[in-house]
Amino acid sequence: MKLPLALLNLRHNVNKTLLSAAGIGTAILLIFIQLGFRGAVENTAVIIYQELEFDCLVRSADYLHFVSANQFPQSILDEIAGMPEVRQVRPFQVSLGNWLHPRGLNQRGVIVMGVDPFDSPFRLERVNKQLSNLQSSHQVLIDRQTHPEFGPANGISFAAEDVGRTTEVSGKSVVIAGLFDLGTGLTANGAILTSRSGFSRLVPRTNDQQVSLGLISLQSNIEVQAFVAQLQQKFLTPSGHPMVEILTRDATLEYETNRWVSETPIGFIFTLGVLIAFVVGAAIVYMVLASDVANRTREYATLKAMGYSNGYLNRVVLGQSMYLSLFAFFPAWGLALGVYQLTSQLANVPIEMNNARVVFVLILSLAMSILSGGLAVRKLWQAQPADLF
Amino acid sequence: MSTKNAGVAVTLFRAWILAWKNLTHDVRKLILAAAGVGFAVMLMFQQRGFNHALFDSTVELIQQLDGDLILVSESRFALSSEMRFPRTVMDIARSCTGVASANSVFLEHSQAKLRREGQRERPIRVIAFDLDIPVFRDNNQEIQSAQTKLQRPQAAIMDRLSKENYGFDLTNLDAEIQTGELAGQQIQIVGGFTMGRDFAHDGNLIMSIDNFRRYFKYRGPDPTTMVDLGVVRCDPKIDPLDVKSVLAEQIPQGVMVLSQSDYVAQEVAFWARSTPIGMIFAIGSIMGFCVGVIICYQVLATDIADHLGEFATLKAMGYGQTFFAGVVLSQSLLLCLFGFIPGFFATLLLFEVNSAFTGLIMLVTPVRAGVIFLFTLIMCVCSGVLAMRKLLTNDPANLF
Repeated sequence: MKLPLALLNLRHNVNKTLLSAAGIGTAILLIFIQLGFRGAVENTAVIIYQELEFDCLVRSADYLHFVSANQFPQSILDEIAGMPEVRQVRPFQVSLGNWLHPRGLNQRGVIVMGVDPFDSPFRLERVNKQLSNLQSSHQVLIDRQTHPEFGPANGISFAAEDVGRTTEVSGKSVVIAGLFDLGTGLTANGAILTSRSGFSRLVPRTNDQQVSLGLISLQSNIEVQAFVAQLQQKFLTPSGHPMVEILTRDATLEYETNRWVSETPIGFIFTLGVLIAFVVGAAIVYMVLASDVANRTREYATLKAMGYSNGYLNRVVLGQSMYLSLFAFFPAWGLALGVYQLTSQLANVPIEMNNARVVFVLILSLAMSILSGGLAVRKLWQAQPADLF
Repeated sequence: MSTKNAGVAVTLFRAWILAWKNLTHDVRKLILAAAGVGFAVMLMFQQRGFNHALFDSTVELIQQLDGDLILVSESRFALSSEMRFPRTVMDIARSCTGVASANSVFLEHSQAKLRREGQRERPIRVIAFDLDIPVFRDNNQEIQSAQTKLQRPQAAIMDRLSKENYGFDLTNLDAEIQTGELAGQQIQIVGGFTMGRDFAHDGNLIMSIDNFRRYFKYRGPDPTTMVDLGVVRCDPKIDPLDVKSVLAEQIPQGVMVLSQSDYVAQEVAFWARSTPIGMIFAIGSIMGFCVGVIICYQVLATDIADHLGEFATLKAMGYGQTFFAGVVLSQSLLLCLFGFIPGFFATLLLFEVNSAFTGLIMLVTPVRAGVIFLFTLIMCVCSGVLAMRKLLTNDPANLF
């Protein structure tokens, strides 16, 4: 007969078990938080791309990231537009500008996007409805999620009462003609939308012959990957270098996320954070188990003397550590949701939970407990029953 | 009264001895406990460290300036925003009493695209100033020793801490001339200096004003009409604060006069306010603190539980509350020390690694280390107080 010894050990001193679970739970919470921050970076990196309608994208060979996209000749897009596989080609302009506080106090960096108001590249109906407000090159729409430092009338966020106010972008006067709702990402705390002529007016050294991004939608029966490869072959300089970069939608999103996560210090910081939290967690579990094993040495020795194998002791200690991790996991998950919400509000970054992360952290927690359980149980293997007394 | 005080002192001394013996009697346990507390220390250091690093890196250029006062456009909300003021302001500054010298610094980032053959062009921050009157502290004399080479057309020196993806061999900057293209024209990298990158800038170049004019013609017929920063050195006999108020009166509206430390503070305040960095790392540090309290409490509570019999005996022998409180608190203070010291050294190592990976400047200043030590102390005392309650409320008889 085998007793569920792992569980009985934990039930024996409930207070102690709770304390141990709290320690492990804190480490799990820490992992959740660091992953949450990292996830927020990934999400905000593609926040605008995700709302754009395209199957594949044409951009400059010197493209760096969304607001540092560089320019390429419009003629390339015109050529693509004539191909039978292509349903629609939409030019998209983007750059950084300087937004002047409407009361002339100070300036802030702002994302400036230029689109054709009558042929919107956005997927969101709520954005498209607003575009009809853009009738002259002086008019701009401003993102509601723009930081309060940009000077909304109510001091909190841009709202209906701001429509009609005037200010300057990069030294040129503009009128707020409406609002939209996209979110701004990590490069700037505000974003504005204007027509293509408005864009050329606000951003120096741009003209109608140059565009930042070409958004291409294909006919429904076209294989995107093959078409992209075909385009890449087509647009080469005489020396054989690509004239522009052409990517599928997935590749575009992946590049952008990757840039933020692996090319800026931010991604590294949070990845390291996860690693440290894991090590801390493993250390806590180990401390808990090692002291528990030490306290019960005599009992284990008795079991060994009675003929129970090392394998049995392994199962008891590992079982105990996995139960502890599981007990700790669920409250930590709940708390993490709370911390996400709190941080989202305080830091103004959207931090969301997703299923993949929950599963990943659960696996990490179990790995943590197996690792430290394995370390703690070693002491029992080497011991002879007689030594243990 | 004094005998009573002396009695308390003796009791606490005995408590301290017992605490020491309790902790050191099992070395393996002690190492484990110190490692636990050390982890928490490292976690707090790490979180605070990143927070500081992001700000330190952003203000590194300002910190390296060698001047008493700095002139900057009022619209320059961040160093990276390219808001400039007319060079004529520098002439006015030079004519003010108490000003020994006033030097213009020109910065260019948005149009300064650097390309190494076969690579993508990437913006780099170009810094230009009159090479005869150095504006940087140049502690290692790297800029000064490159001075003659920098006079040549198309010459620049490159920051050794620039990002590798520009495509230049940064370990070999001094040994061989590497060529590339800056703003569409050829550039020769003739040496290296040390500054560091930050959120907005992936690297730096330094060049002469003549060369700067050559590359950035877009800034106007004379590309140096607008100045990015003015570095003012004061007459050593006159208080810089007095010079500051004179300057503030003389220069036109729209230009600020700031001391170096005020400018640094203003820049840090901008990044702290308009980015979520501060909040994110504050939460990280609080988590580190909580982990520390839990680890520390666990160590102390286990130790008390293990020695319950001994404590009961002592209680029965007549030792009072003060003594037991003293033992637990002494033990928590010792844990704090044992944990902080390895945690501190582990942090130094970790910061080296971080710095190498991110190019950020990771510094542990005495003040920062002091702050973390204080938190470690609070952390240990908190858990000591928590662990103590059980011991104090119990009757000797119950302890068996």
